[in-house]
Amino acid sequence: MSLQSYVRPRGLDDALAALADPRTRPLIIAGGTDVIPAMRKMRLGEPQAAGDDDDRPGVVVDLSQLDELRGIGEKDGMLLIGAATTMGAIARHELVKDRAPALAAAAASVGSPLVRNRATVGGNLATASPSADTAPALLAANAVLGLASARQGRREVSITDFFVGYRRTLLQPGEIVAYILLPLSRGLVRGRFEKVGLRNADAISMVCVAVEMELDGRVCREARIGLGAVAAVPVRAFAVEAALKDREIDEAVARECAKLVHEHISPIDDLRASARYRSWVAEAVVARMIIDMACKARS
Amino acid sequence: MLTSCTNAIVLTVNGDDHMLVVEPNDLLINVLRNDLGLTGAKYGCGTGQCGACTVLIDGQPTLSCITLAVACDGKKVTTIEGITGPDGGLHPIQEEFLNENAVQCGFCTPGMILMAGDLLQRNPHPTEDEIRHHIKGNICRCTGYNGIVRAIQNAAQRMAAGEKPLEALGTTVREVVKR
Repeated sequence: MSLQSYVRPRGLDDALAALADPRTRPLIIAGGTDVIPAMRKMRLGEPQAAGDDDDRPGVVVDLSQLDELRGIGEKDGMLLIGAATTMGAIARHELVKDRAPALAAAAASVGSPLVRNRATVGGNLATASPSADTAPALLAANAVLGLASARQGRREVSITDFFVGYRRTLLQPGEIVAYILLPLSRGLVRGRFEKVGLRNADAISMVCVAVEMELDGRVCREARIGLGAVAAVPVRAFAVEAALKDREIDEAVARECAKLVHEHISPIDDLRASARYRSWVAEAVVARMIIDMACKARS
Repeated sequence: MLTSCTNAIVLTVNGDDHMLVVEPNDLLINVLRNDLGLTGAKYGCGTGQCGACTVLIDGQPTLSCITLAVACDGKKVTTIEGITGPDGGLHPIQEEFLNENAVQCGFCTPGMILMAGDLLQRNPHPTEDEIRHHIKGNICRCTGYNGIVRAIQNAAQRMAAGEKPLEALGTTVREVVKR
């Protein structure tokens, strides 16, 4: 029996203490929607092969019921979201829908209602799947992540620095995502999220895009664009953003700027789509979203 | 801090308290089916994609095949066996599933009915689109969904007409948003 115990910490410090000793081979669980299918592949019930070091998890540390990691509120003009808040709670929350609409839409697009009842935003980030739907929305919102560990204490990092490689983040052993802070949209900032999947329900993105734009009439004062499933990590399209800055947007300008997205993406062929198709879709969706946001939908 | 190797847990299932000893990696679906003999929830994909294992935990629809039993200690679980009508017979949602032939092989049906109850509790007058959205995570390979959607529409009408208090579908506890 590899998996020896289950721990439900009573508070955050308790949780960090449980994660601090690497010899216990802790495995963090929150919603479990990624972790449990992964655990199934680890053959936890079987004895380890003779002579091999057992690298399977020894203790499951359940963060899902920590009040300190759950909930949505405002703090110092920022939107504060606990990392163990579920996708469903984020998608339904009026403050998120009103002030961070791209994030609300991204959360609403994850999996199915059943998955969204359990899956957490912190898990979506820590798992670091390139196709994580909330990542582009948080990139476009310029979010800050609050991290916590027993050894290093608390630190805040920009989401642009968080993903360091394919399924790798700058989380250290024993460190967790505790909360997410995002600047509340001001009056002229619009946000939008679009996902292209193979079907409407329960689909993993083959391309997902989030855009936040500050507009003055049709003039783009500032834009931030996040993309998922088109590189080893979720990416910001800085070149597109720079090209849009202080330009009056029409269809031609949007299409010209969207072409620069290729500087930031390096999609692969997989079972969901070819690299070529993903490149084409990423450019097309970015262009369409800019046009829709700047030239249509006056709200 | 709660730490243990074999864990003694208490589950309230369909109103009855059960004291159970589980391994840390036991899944809720297996405890319900194998230890408690409640075979209504089905083991389908095992990865949370098909919805056949749907149960309510504290009133919230949950995929029991990707939920650790030990994590449910102290919680209220409602399975399809816990859904009844006012006289102990079928619930209006169940009756409408029969009326509309919304059941063929039956594997998805417990999950579909629990999701329908969850939807109608939140939204007593759903549009067809809202119904289809709500059962997105529940896969039916037999019926083509149309009968299921009609059954939920019929049940919504009957329940809105006051035929059955909605609270009868499990508890009404919802996720509390704090901070």
